[in-house]
Order: sequence, then C-alpha cells, then structure tokens
Amino acid sequence: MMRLLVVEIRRLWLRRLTWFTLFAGLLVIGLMGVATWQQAQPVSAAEQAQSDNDYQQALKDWQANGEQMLKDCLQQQAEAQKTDPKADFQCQAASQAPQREWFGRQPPSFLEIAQNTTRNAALTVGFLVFLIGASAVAAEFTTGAIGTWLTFEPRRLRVLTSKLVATGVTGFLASAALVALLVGTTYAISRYAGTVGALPSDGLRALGLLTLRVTAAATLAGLVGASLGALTRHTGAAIAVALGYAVAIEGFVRAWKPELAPFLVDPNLNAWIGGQSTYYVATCGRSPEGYDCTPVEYTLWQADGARFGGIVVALLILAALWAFRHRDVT
Amino acid sequence: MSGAPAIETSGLRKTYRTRRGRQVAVQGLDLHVPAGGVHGFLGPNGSGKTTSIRMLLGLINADSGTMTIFGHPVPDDLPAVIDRVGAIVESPKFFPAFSGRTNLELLAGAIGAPKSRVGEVLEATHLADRAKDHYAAYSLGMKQRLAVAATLLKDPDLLIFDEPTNGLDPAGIREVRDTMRDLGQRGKTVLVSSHILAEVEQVADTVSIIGRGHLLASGSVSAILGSQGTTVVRVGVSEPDRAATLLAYEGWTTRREGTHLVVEGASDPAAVTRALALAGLYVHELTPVVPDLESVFLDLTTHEQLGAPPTSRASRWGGRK
Repeated sequence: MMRLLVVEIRRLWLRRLTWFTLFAGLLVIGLMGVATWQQAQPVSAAEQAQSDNDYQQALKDWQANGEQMLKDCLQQQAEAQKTDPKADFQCQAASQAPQREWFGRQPPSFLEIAQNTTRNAALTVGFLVFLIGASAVAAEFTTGAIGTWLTFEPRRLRVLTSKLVATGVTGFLASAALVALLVGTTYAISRYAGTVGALPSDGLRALGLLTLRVTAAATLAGLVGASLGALTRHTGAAIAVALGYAVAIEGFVRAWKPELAPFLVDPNLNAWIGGQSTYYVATCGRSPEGYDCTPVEYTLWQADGARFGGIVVALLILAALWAFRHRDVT
Repeated sequence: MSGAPAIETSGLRKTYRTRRGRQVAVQGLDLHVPAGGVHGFLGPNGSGKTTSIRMLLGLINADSGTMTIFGHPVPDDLPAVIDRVGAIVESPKFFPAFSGRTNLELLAGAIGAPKSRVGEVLEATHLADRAKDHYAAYSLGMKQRLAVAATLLKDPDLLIFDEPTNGLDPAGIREVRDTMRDLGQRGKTVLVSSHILAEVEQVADTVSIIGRGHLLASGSVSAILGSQGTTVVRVGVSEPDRAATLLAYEGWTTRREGTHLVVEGASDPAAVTRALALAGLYVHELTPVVPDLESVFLDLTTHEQLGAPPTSRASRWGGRK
C-alpha cells in the first residue's frame, strides 16, 4: 500500500495539470495582492485634508440643524407608527454629534486583511484542489491507463485508496502552500506599506486556525474531486456534476426551501470557515394585522459544518470505492 | 501448482447491457492453454477474445463460469499470481504526457521492481534512445514496444498479447513475432489473440478458435494441419471433365479449379491415380493440398456466423472441441 501511495503522489506531482492549477492559484494570489496593496496604503496628506474638511463640514451642519433633524425624524417615525407600530427610524443617530473616525479611510491592519483574503480565497483554493483530484483520477480512465495499472496491481480497493490518499496529501500540501503564500504576500504588502498594525497573539492564533480550516476544506474538496473522478470517469463530467450541483441544488433549494440550509454545502462551508453562519426561515401566520411573515434567524456552528463536510466526503468516498470495486474497466 | 495449465476457463459467460437489450459477448467458453509455448487465441472481430482476456485479468466481471491462471482461481486469487502475468490488452495504454521511462518507472514502483530494471527493458525493446520522449509522441510501433517493455518489468511466466500487431508496419510485426517466438522458446507461455492468422500460424504451437463467444476448436497447430493435408489433392489430368465424372462415380467429391481438379476425401492419393489410369486417363500432376490455418478458421467461423454447422472438413479437424 505504501509503495502504491508513493507512486501515486509522485504521479500527481509529475502531472502538468497539477502545476497549471498551482500556477492559476498563484495568479489568483497575485490579483488578491493587488487588492491588498490598494487597501493597505497609508492615508495620504490629500486624503487626510479632505476627510478633515468633511468632518468639519458635518459637525457644523449638525450643530446648526441637529435638533431640527431629530425633531423631523421623530415626527416621521410617529406618523409611520400609526400604520406600523413597530416602525423604527433609528432617530438616536441624528442626536449624536459626528465623530472624527467616521470620516476618511483607515487602512486596515495586516490581521484584518489577512482574515478577509484567506476567507475569500477558500472557494478558489478549494476548486483548484478539486480540479487536481478530479483530473488525476478521471484521466486514468480516459487514457485507459487504469487498465494497465490493474494488470500490475489488481486489488482495486487498494488502488483507489492509494489514489484518494495521494490526492488528500497533495491537496493538503498544495492548499497549505497557496494559503501560506497568500498570508505571506499580505504581510509583505502591509509591512511595505507600513500598515501592519498590532499583532496580538490571539489575533495571530485566530488567523492560524483560519488558514488550517481553509486548508482542511480544500483538502476535502480534493477528495470530493477524486471521488467524483472515479465515479464519472471523466474530468469534464466531474466538474459538470460539481457546478451543476452548485447551481441547481444549492441555488434552487436555498431559494425554495431555506429550512434545508443545514443540508447544503455553502452554509456549512461558511460555518466551518467563519465559525458560524446564519440563515433565515420565514414563519408565517395570522396576526391582528392580517397574514404576517416574520423571518426567524437560525445559526449553523462550526461543529455543524465539520460534521456535514465529514459525512458528505465519507459517503462520496464510499460510493467511489464501491463503484470502482464493482464496475468493469473497459 | 506446478504442472497446472497456464490458463483454464470453464463455462465462462459475459453479457453486456445495450440499448437493444442484453448482448452475449462470451458464451460458455472452455479454454485450455497449456503452460509453455505460444498459444494462438483466434476469432473474428467481436467474437469475445478481448472480453475473455479482460475477464481473466479481472478488468471486467464474468457473469458466470470459472477461470484459473497457473491453477489459481481468478479473479479472487489474482493478486497471488499477477506477478507472473504480463498483459497488453488491445492497444497499449499509458499516460500520454509522461515519457516512456516515467511511465515504466511508475509501474516499476508499483510492483517494487528496481529502477535499473526499467533501463534493462527499455534496452531490450530498443526504446532506450527515445525513453525521454513523451508517450504521446511515440509511433504506434513504439507504443507497442513500450507495452512489451512494461510486461517484461515483471519477468512474467505468462504473457498475454491482445492483437499485438494492430497498426504495425511489416518490420514491427516481425519484431513482435520474434519476441513472442523467443519468449515461447524460453519456456514462457504466450497467449496471443489475433484475427491475423498467418501471423499466428508462424509462431503458435497450439491454438484455440472462438466464434460468437464460445470455443469452436482447440489443439496443436501441427496436428491440425497435418491431419488435413492428406485428404485433399489437386490433380492435373488430360480430360478433366471426364475425370471428374469418373471420380464422382467412384465416390470422391471433386471440383474444377482451372484446368485442374480438386479431389476431397483422398486419404490415399494413389487410389485416385489408379482409378484414372484404369480409365485411360493419365495424371501429369498430383499435389496434396495442405490447408492453412486461415482456411480452417474461415470454414469454422463463417459457418458459426451463419448459424450452420461447419463443413465435414472442419468438423474432422483434430483436437478438442
């Protein structure tokens, strides 16, 4: 088994598509780096002067008209409450004097940018690793090389298991490298711009855990790709199944039956990566005012996301192993 | 397991689901391939040769029947015997973007063969100079040679070549033929499936002929052809029409072939000359007609396709049936 695993890992890293995919990942990181560069720039003197000016203007305006604005707001709110007792125009905001920090741009710290970019990159990195896994397994069927392979090692479960484990190892290494490069690039840019900001240990720890969660999710995406590759026996078909599912099932079900969100990939993925994700289900019924629908908020927690991901990947792997064990190789 | 046949199948059956329902590819195939030497596995296209080989190698599942390789029941016990088997099924199939050497190195790694073995088999198949080229850039002959090189990585006792000369030029065909003959002479068992009979006839010690998924005949080539050689003679005679009438009257089956007569069932050619001489017809030529494998094959398989029994000549053909 170990021998097969070593050979499979070697084969994966010899594949051009693995390197093309990593190169595509580098391009994405490059593009994100450009966005980071723009965000991390310190405030220029012109921007500073402009925001000072805006602040002074707003303060002057509030001092002159603040009381009247509050009065108008409360009056409009009272009008609205005649038909809708719950109407709330947030008039307290008008009673508060403008604060200096509301004006002008504050360059985000390295930790803020890194958290955002890592979260945003999760889907891209996951898709790239999915592609590595799907094409590595499916290509063996399209080229027919799997037949040659099985005349050397006929134990099919071992053969596919070695491919899946190799995909997992490669997916983990590839995604870890991409995420590390992304965070490293973000730090380098923030440092160059002089806007690294504070680096508290709990912030760094949170960022480290986030990168691990993204890497884990991408690794699972690679296993999903490899399993679909074995089931469909064609890279294009594996991608079509994944995209078709994303569009037809995720999009459609979420709009049609929002209460099924706990059984969909996207909310669970967000819960896993971001710590939690919320979804809303409208609860409708008769009220004194008539038929009324109130959106009720539900939360999916990180553990829910982990459990869901684990079950889905395990089922797909089992299906792939079963199919590979029983289907003819022609 | 010593002394066991290289391959033995019994009642092997495989059907495929098609749009028109279930299609029978192999139907109760009983195959016996003795250990050592070259065994031709003959049949027209679509007769079930490749399907049978795929079942033996565990690539596709049989619906029913039993199979053994060197006495090991397959596919269950295939892992125990796979190191003794090298196979090329249909066309060679490798990773097109990898070099020939890389493809072989991966396979060698899977079976734990040393890297040096890769160099040896590349040399043996005259591919060493092109070993670094991508497999996709290889000619068909080179691909076939690479497939042979892959089978040799294991130094197998049984080699299965499925249509090994498809698409090869005459030099390539000769090379493959020489390789098979050489392997057979070294005590290896070579099962070569083909529909090109002249090629098999030159190297095979024994053959099995299948049609429509079942065995039509099997046995040693020399015995088969030898037993056929004495029954048909080609006769050159001065008055062929009169001679034909006479021989028919005497109970022989004859037919005209230009100025000659072909007499079937002439187990004693002297009886033919004697009968003609007694009637004043003098023979100026008498040649035994030695059938080749092709004529036997065509006789068997043509009738199989038509659903009729083979002619008497074919049914008399020696060996198992």
